[in-house]
Amino acid sequence: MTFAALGHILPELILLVGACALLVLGVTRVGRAPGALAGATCGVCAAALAATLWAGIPDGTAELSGLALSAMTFYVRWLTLLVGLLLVLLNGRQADPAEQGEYLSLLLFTMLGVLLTASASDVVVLFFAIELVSVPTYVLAALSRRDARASEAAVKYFFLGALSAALLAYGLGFLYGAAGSTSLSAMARAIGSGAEVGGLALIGLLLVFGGLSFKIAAVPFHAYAADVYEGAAAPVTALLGFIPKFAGFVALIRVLDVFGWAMSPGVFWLIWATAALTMTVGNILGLIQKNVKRMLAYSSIAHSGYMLVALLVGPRLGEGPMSNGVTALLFYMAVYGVMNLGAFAALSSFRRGEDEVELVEDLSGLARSQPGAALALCVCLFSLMGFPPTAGFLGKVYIFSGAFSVGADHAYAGALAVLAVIGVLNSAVAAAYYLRVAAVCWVNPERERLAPASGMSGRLGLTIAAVAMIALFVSPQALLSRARTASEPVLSGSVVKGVSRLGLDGASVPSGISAEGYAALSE
Amino acid sequence: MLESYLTLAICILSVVVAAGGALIVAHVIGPGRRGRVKDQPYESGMPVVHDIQRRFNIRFYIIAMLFLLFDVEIVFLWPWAEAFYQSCTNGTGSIIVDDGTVATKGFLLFGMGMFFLILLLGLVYEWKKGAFEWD
Amino acid sequence: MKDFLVTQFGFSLVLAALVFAVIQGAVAYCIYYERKIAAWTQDRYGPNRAGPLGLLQPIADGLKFVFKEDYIPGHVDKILFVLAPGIMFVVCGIGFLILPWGGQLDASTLPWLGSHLQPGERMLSVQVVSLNVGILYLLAVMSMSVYGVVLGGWSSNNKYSFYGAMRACAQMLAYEIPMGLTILVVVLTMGTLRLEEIAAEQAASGVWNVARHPLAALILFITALAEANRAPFDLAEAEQELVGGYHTEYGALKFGLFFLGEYASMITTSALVVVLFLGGWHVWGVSALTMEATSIWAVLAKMTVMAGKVAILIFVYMWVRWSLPRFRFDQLMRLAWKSLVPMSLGLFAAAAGLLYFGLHRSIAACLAVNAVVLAGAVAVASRGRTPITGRQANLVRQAARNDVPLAEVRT
Repeated sequence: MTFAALGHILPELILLVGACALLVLGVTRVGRAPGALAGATCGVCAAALAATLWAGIPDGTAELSGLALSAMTFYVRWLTLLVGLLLVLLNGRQADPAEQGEYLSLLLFTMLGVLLTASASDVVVLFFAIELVSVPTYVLAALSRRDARASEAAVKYFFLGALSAALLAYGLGFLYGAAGSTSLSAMARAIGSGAEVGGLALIGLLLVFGGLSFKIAAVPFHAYAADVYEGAAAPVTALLGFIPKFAGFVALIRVLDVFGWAMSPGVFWLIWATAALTMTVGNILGLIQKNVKRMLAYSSIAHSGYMLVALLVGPRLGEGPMSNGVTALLFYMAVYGVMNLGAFAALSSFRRGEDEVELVEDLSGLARSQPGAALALCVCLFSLMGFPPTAGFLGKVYIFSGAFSVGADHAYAGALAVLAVIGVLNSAVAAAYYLRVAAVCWVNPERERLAPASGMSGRLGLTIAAVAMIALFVSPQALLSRARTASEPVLSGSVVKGVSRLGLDGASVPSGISAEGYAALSE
Repeated sequence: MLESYLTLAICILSVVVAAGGALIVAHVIGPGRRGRVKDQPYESGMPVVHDIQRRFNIRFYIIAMLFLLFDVEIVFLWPWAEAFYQSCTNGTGSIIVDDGTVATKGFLLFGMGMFFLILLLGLVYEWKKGAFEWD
Repeated sequence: MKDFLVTQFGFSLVLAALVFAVIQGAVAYCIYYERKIAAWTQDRYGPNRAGPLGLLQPIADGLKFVFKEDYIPGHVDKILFVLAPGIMFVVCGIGFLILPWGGQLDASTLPWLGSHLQPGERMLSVQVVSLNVGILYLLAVMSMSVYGVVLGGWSSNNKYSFYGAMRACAQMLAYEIPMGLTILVVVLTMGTLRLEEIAAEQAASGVWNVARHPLAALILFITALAEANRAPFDLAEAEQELVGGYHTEYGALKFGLFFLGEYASMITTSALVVVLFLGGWHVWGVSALTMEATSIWAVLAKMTVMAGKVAILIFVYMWVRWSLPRFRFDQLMRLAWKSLVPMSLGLFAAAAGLLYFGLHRSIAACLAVNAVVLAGAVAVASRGRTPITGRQANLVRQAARNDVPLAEVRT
């Protein structure tokens, strides 16, 4: 560990220094100037994003203890920072002015946590990173508005979060016990894959899966989502829907990579059942919600179910881009982040008197007074539903086609196909509640005129999200190729192992990356 | 070394026994009378209003939390102080850590400097936030 | 038996018993000492009935503690109620074990016991135990006394006791931080956690640490006052507000043990200040008080010097108690967090910087950084224009806003 190595984690350092500085600036005179802190936070995000793009895809040569940089790090970095930038815009003026500094600083801290999750090469760092994602979100939920419901949401979230942290730590402890090392690569070597995996490591994996299920709001750890999403203010809810989920899935990819993706039947059926239940429970409970935010909470649960399908398909090499689960997952995560943000941005850009928009009925006749916003909201809803012409459709196609096309030689081909069918049926069920919101906007007569909330950030976020959904449908190649590059280290195992499990014969090198680049990644 | 701890254990044990013995002896020697009024808590002669299982000032809790933060951080300074002293005075300007890596005194100072800076930021933040005000 | 007593192990046990007995006696006479000083300060006689000059008063008090009714009120949590004074007694009885009372002793100079030994054949350390974590042990033991106070106050189920315990707890916690930091300044100067080595280094060089870090010494002394719950930091037992504070419901020997604990911790903390900053058993120009002098008589002289220094510090404790009024709680907390903690953090950082440049033993450089830290503190304080012991800033603002004379603002 030398000073020079610090250059490789420049985006993380920028976020860290920015977060600390904002915390202190918030309580000084500078912090009281309107918009100063939000502007500074945007600046920090933009600087970190610039540093990420400038550094490019890490070549894996950085000597950092506890961190290993890979193409996945790059993908997670720019996606988190880009969505983070939109979230900061959205959150710019919502909080209590006296707590603005803490609020924005915690936002940066939670983003920093996601970045570290993607590059942690040691379970202690991984646990720390996941906690860095989680702890600020508890506080953000409480700070988001002066309301007993927000406090209630924060306390519920905190206690369940503490439980999940305990599960995660306990599971990582078992993994350490099974492997005798806290380093992920050493763990991967010691644990082996498939049938070699011992009971201790399996218990560890199950506990870790349980702990991370909370972060991604998968059944049976989904119960908090609706209450927390309802209690927190809409801009924070947008964050809660993306940041912890993204970190949770990235961590799951890292952990399953340790196990070489070769799942024993117990683990496979556990994830299978979790995915099926999460989709179904999320959508059925979504159907009966009257509150938009609760509805979107259940929609977010259901989306975790879809993404778990992609996780179950896992990385598969040389069978075309449509069949790689990790690529599909990373692609869907990006699309989900933006469309989810768009939906909540729509909610936070209107006020009903002093209150936020809460009930589905509150949106009645929105199209008459604000046709543009209503259209953008509908684009995001269609994307969440998975209808063309939006990117959400492509995301679902990649996930489900991956599950259908694993090939007959796959041990669980039939089960995956059944899961995909369940997923498709679920998407059809989900259409009902998304369409109801759209119908309320367009068909219902106006009940009460919604006042636009102060500031342009909400509508800006909404517009960007809607445009992005259409644009990504028209030309998904840019994002897709980035997602594919990011999932290549997972294929080769170099995210954690530093060695290729598949050998370097030219045939197995995936398209889109040169053999030299692949060799560099694998070393 | 071990002998020192044996001595320490013997001394601590004797003091504990002495404390217990003194309490028992005093209990046996002294007289004992009881009564309903005598059993009540002392509140300057007024009838007792309620017991103490009530809410009390939240600031005590904040002080406890601050203590936890600072004290845990100061615990890190103890081993560092020893290591840093060695690195500065053993002539080589560095110490060798258990796993064989060499830590120079500059690196030790920089590392603790960062840690210290965060500690200081916390103090400034608490100060400005009014955690040390009491009213 | 004779051989056993001149081994370090046997000698340590004898020394422990001896010092323990002396401290118990000293505590009794500390109370007499305190009452006499109080009387002197307030221009009256003090205890003068029991024995000549009232010298038998402590014995009378002690007997009274034992023979009074050992009463446990009906409403208390009995186990904790009895445990609390026990903890206080144990803490006061094990803290001094680590203190170096008199350097090295050449066992051959012991009359009768060491007659069969050659000079210099066996050196004994005049210290009950010598640990490589010496200061940490002492800090750990001293911070245990907060358990005695809190458990005592809590288990009494009495409002006065409870508030006293809460105050004592907050106070002891707050002042432990500057205490630890100032001790770290000494560690960075001397490079060891062993108290006997710190004392010996000061004797060898002839420079007491107080000459290098007077500000750190002052802060340590202030925190020692606060840790012992002594005036002006005796809010926990402020008799005008809280009757007796955490020991309101205690009587007889259990009260006596609390009393004993307080005075014994005074002796231990004074001895700590003496060892860390005031050169331990060293005085300039006396040949018996050097590292080389190891005969039994030199050791006895060293122990006398050490005891004398401790007695002087205890006199200062009492002098302060009868001269200064008690702090308000907000002042107490401000003094800790806004004054002592930043200053001791500054001293620690400065000491680390001096060590980096190899100036940690240079008197001029050390004094200079102390002056800088003090000047910084004064600058910050004068910029705020409110003294650290004055009214709280927000109360002053509140008075200005409501146009009320400051004296009428609720404190």
